[in-house]
Amino acid sequence: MMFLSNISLTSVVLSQVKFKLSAYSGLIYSLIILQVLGILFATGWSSSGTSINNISINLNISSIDSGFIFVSLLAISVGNLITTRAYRYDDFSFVATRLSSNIANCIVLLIFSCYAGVTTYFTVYLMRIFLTFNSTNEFVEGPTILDDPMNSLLTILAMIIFLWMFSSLGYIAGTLFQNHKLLFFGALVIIIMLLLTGTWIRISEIIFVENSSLLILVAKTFGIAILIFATSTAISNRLGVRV
Amino acid sequence: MNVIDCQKVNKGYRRTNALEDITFQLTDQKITGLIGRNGAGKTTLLKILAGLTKHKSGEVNVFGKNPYNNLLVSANSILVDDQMTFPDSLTLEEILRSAPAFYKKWDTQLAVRLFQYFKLDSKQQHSKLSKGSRATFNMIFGLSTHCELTMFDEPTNGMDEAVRTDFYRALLKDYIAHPRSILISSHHLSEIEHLLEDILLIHKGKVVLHADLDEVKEYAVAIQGPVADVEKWTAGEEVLHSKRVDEQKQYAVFKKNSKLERARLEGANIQMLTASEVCMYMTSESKGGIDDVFK
Amino acid sequence: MILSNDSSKPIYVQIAEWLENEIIAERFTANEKVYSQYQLAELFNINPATAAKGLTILVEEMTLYKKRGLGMFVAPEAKMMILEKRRNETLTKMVTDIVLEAKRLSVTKAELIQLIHKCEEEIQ
Repeated sequence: MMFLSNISLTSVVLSQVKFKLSAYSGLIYSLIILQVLGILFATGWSSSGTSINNISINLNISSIDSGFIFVSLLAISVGNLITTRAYRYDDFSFVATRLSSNIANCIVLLIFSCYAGVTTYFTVYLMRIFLTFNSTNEFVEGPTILDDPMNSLLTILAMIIFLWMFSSLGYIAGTLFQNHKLLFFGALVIIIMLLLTGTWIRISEIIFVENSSLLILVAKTFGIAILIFATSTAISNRLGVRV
Repeated sequence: MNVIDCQKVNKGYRRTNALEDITFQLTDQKITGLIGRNGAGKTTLLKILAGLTKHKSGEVNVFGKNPYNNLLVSANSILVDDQMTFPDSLTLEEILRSAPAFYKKWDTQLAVRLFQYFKLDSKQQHSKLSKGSRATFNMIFGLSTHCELTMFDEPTNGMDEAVRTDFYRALLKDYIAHPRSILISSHHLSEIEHLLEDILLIHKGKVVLHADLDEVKEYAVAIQGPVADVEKWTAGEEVLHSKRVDEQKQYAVFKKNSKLERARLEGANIQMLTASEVCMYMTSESKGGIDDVFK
Repeated sequence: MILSNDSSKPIYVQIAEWLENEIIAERFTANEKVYSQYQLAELFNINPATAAKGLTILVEEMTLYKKRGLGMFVAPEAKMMILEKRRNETLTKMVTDIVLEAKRLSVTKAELIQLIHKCEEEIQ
């Protein structure tokens, strides 16, 4: 008599997410390194000096923008990394379907984005400590999260969703490449053509610039990321394993 | 109930046909040997059954479902081969500890005991294992899943003699304790013959024979005697293999038939063949064999 | 006993013969329970279905009888039946082989009988 174990998609996805979080935990180190690099690049980003009554004031404005750029690049490369063969095959040593693997990847990338977004936001405090110990700075001042909690939270949310969207770009590029190298280069050519004709700029203006509030921007970005992940899932459906 | 039901399954890679009109059924809880020469299509067939690759045409049913992208099939089947990979960031111990979340019938005790018996290092990474140890680990993993359909593709490649013997013994004992459908591919039938109930012989992507082990064994016989006599005895029969032993004597392998008893009484030297020999002759390229090369 | 793959006999026949030998040697006596297919499979390292086939032969020959849910048991007359059968079948087959081989080697009937007498004396 055969007894088949019934297992739901949700429970497989949850198990896969748990497994991936522990298996890919090493990626956190790359994140920390990039954040530190971000701080080093950020200090003295722009400066202006004035002099009043023999008192000279030198104003240094530092921001975590460079840190965020580094982390965004990391998001793209991680998104790309987990579509590579080794990562894909690992899934199929356990219970998996292409759908469950894609959903799990999507969730894992979101979790990593949360982690990266929050920590990157708080590197600003680390940066202040760093600047305080830098002897040339007399005063280090800046807004804190308590000044405007709602807005700060929204900023963090925006960072998270943007990172997730970046990871989805890496993810779809990787999926296309795994499917067929020509498909990847074909997509690249189309994107470059869009860029050259200016269509791309118009599209991104509509999506990313012309927004009445940050929240709408976040919502749009979220939608785009979902769309990209869904497309990747559809594309990866014919990918063989251990071939 | 049929665990596997394949109807006219085809699969091609570029211009070559890896599988051609494969049709067979496998009833449950048997140990079946998937036998064939290198490149016969064993691996391709197993990958299709495990849902890892997609077939081109025909119908594949595992537990009544198309295995490609099917969760039920994935949860109840496993394919153990030397291409199995696990994340490098995990130790062997961690890999074994993550398995029960996926495989509901995972046997932790069996996994741990086999792991200790084969003296694997729990802190080791999967990709750093030697070929033999990796095969051993994969086998432990595959057995411990207790999947209703457990498939092994050339599982003993790289294992030394002692481990092979232990592996087959472990497989048999675990099968007796937990009967399930097991499909083992091998090009060394003699090594697994004692374990098998069924043999599925494939050659050049086609099913040549699917029968009970003993039926396979009795499928053909070898006969030896004076050239003229052998020709007389095998006239009109399907000769699978024949060779000249010396000036006067001829050796021939052919399908067993009723005339055999008469040939025996007429002084023919009849030799029973092992299942492995039958399979070898049924899948040989030419009737003469290697000797023809040296003519 | 180690089973032989190369033997001209299928494994299940070898299992049946092994059980018969055990009965003849009285290691299994009348109405005693014999090994189950699983015990035989473990003992000889073979597929349980093959072991079951060996048992089935003996049940068909009435050497063993089944008790539902309890297993297989040695029939009261088993030993005698086996000996009888061996005399009839095995010996006949062996003698046929001897006669055929004698024919091939051009050994006459008288010489063959003489040889049998000689062998018998040597054994005694």
